[in-house]
Amino acid sequence: MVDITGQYMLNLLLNGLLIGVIYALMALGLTLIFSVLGIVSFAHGEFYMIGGYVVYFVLQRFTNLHPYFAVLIAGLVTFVIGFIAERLLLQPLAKGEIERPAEYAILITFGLAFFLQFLMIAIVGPFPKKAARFFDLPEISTDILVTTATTLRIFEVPLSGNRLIAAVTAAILISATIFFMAKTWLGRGLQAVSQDRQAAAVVGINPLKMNTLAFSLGTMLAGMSGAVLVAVFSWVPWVGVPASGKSFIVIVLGGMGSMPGAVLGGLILGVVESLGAGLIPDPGRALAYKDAIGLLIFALVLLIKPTGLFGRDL
Amino acid sequence: MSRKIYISVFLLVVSAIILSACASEPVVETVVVTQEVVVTEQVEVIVTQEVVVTEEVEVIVEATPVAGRCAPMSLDEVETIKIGATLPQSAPGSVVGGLAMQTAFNIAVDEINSGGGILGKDVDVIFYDTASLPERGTAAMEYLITQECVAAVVGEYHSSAGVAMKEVSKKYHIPTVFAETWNDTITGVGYEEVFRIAPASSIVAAVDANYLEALGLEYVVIVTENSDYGIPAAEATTEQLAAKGIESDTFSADIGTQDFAPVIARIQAGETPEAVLVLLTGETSYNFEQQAAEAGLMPTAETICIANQVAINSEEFWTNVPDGNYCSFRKVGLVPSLANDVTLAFEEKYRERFDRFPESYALEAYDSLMLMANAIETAGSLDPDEIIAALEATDITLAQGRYHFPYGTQNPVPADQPDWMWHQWPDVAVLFLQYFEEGQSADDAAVVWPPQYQTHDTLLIPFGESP
Amino acid sequence: MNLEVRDVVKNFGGLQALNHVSLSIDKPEIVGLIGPNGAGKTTLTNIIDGVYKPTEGEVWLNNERVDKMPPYQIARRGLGRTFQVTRAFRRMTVMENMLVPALALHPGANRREVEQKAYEVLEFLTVEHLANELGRGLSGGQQKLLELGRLLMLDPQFIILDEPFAGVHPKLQEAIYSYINKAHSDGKAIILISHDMDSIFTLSERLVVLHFGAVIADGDPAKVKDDSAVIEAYLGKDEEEDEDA
Repeated sequence: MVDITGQYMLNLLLNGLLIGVIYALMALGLTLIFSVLGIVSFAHGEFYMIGGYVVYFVLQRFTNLHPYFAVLIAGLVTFVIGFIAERLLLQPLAKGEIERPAEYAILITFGLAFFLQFLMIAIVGPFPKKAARFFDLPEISTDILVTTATTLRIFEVPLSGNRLIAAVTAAILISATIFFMAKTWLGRGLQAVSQDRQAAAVVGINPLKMNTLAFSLGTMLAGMSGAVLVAVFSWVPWVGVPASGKSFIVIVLGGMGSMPGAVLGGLILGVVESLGAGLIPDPGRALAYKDAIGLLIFALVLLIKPTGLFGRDL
Repeated sequence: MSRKIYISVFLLVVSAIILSACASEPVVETVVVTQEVVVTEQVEVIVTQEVVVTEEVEVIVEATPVAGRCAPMSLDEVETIKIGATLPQSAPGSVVGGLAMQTAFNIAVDEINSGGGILGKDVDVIFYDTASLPERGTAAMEYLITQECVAAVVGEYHSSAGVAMKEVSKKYHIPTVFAETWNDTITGVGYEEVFRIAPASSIVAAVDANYLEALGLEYVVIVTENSDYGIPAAEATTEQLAAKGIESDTFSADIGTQDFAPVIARIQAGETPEAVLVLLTGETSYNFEQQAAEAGLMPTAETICIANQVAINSEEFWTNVPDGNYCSFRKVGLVPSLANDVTLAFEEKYRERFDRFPESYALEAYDSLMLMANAIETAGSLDPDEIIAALEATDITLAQGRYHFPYGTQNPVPADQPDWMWHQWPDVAVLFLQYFEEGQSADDAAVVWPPQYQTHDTLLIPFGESP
Repeated sequence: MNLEVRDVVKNFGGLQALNHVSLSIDKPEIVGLIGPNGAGKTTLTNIIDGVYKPTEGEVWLNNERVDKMPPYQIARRGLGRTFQVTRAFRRMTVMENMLVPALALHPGANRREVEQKAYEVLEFLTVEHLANELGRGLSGGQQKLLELGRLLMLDPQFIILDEPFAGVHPKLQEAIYSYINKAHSDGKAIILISHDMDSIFTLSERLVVLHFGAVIADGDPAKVKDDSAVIEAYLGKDEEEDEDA
């Protein structure tokens, strides 16, 4: 039914990459949390959701505020909430005060997820919200690239302006994170703790402080992923649920605890989902299988290389 | 920390989700007991026509020993009359819909009780959140019937839950009036306990097809949701369109899908459709519609946008689909211009909570409870058979208009009518509206179908033009 | 300077790993700590280091009680240790490994100065040419040297070396010898845990022997060597092994 032209493939590829960058940003946060705290936060999607809502309400209240300020505020809010959550709920785990740590880690973050989700339903209600477009694109007209306020056409492939801005913002944030991890002392400290907790302690790094920092940074990254997307998708309190699942798949694909893995994994998932939805012969079902594709990759990774693309040596 | 534990848990959760999705068809229990009741009843009615009524009652009681059912059979047994109401109050159900219905139910209960209740007894409505899930629908019914001992059940928004619930209505012989569930089979199976005041999917599909035919279209794309509502609705629409010589292709997506770029690319890569009919609901529909607009798929001069009916919530629509001007959308239920006195009285109270004209599911929720109350009052009893008989004989005007059920036990569905006409209110209003000004309120949108209700003398306002 | 282990008992469930151990170091000296496998040497190290908390008894460092402190605080107070299985940061370069402790202690320090010092230490350890290699790309012996160098960046007063010679090429062993001697002449106290009797007797000024979690000898190596209890418990068997080597 569909003519598979170069343009069609380019469309699928580009849109997949745009979404993939967002997946990458979110997964980066989750993998950071895993690499330092050693747990998977099942509440990650809820921070994504809260980040989106913060931007929505901030921009509603201060209509002239530059949207990037709203994104930063969203990051700040989710950082603080993550900080408090880690101190209250996860520190006891790190201090060895919990009898059944593995089960506790899973249940406590699940509990936090439900709490945040239903708290938001109570506070903001279930009605879908959406922030106004962040920027209008500048109008350009060349052979290859044509833009209107809302849409960018490259080689005649239409890309949503909203989505492009979200992806570019996410890419900036990913770069900032990588810079932070590689160049700042705190970033180095996080890396040290994630690579060898005990060795880090004997050279004077406070592992508990790094736990709090890692978790808060992770939730901040999730919050900022949501913050850039609230102008792209309609936002409801349960919007974080599928996002959580996708992040988990990405970090397993990329290798749990690996930051380059999270970035590459996110891009791969975005592209494969897009190609799958666009190329599966049955048009009626293709989109519905999109999520299944992600899970299929997940299963394949576990079967073939369980440690993921950049997996840590066990 | 063991990674294996996380992966196991995650796979477990995933399997559970997949299994529950596969198990969306409820296990149908053949309840032979009920069948026997029918037979016995028929026989006894004939024989005891000249005998005192009490004898008839005795027979029925003996023949309906359904374990677990604890609803009172006579009004003397109770101080308040308990009626169950199911609705979605959490995801994946439509929380928006549930909120509206709950408000409507509460308005109805207040009205009934302040008017002296039913035959002097207050009504107590027991809510249960089905979240659109079939297993929760079943659980809701089991709970309401065997724990709360409700005499009747009303409401429900999602077909997925309703399809499962009807089996339990039948199992326990509890009269049920469905408010907003469209799946044909809900009345198509012909259970005597089950009534419906929402349109059957096929009714809606027929109206959709009639409208598209009137527009002279030849190729249409349908985008629907993967649910017990969405898939059958798309199938019914496809069939009806085919019967009129209109070709169509259906794309389905899961509820909650955010990213429609691949499917939009796919549609754009194929033959340009003359219309896109959106059967997705809720925020999922907004995601598709806005992304389709951004991609230049619809609404355009070549492709008509027929948005999902939630577009009626104009404030929400324009926030979520800012580029949705010139989209049409189906509206089930009354528009303000068709309101009667009951509608207006209800609207006044409804506006205290939501600043808008009541949606069809709010009106239906209100009406479903009022209908049931009316039937119990007419029957003068909590005996299910008498309530059912009273429901079948309904002739009352409520918020959506005059209710009657042409086909039932006294008048079975004839061969030339579809089976879902059983216990189905046939006069549901189904209209098409169209926005022609950005930010417009739904009250100001043009009515474009059916012809007798058109406000701007046109089937469709062309893209970019003023009417 | 003063490190004092006061009457420490450590039980793991029903097993007693340390049985009223007392040890005191109050000057720069090289103390050899020996004993059969399972005698409690690593447990004692972990107690001093803060990884374990003693069941009974106390640990004091420079007149401050430290047995209740977490390891990173003890590290900051001037006590460094290495591990039997080397724990270099595998995904960082050698230079980055060296920078971590310094920046942990002095986050505002001038980076170039710190790098200079690190380079000097690496030079001393003869591994300066590996400065940009990733930790996991080094041989076992080189990783050990890295761990030693990294430790020096803490500028600790007390150093505990747990099996520093195990699996190390003789040439690199030389470097470790000079490291220990230099640290000693820089005024540091070193506790040296090893099964390599040659090195122990070459380097130690004092010898402490652990057996079943108790100190059975503590003093001049020559005298300890001839102590009958020690011979019976430990040295006798090892002397035979030594002759074969």
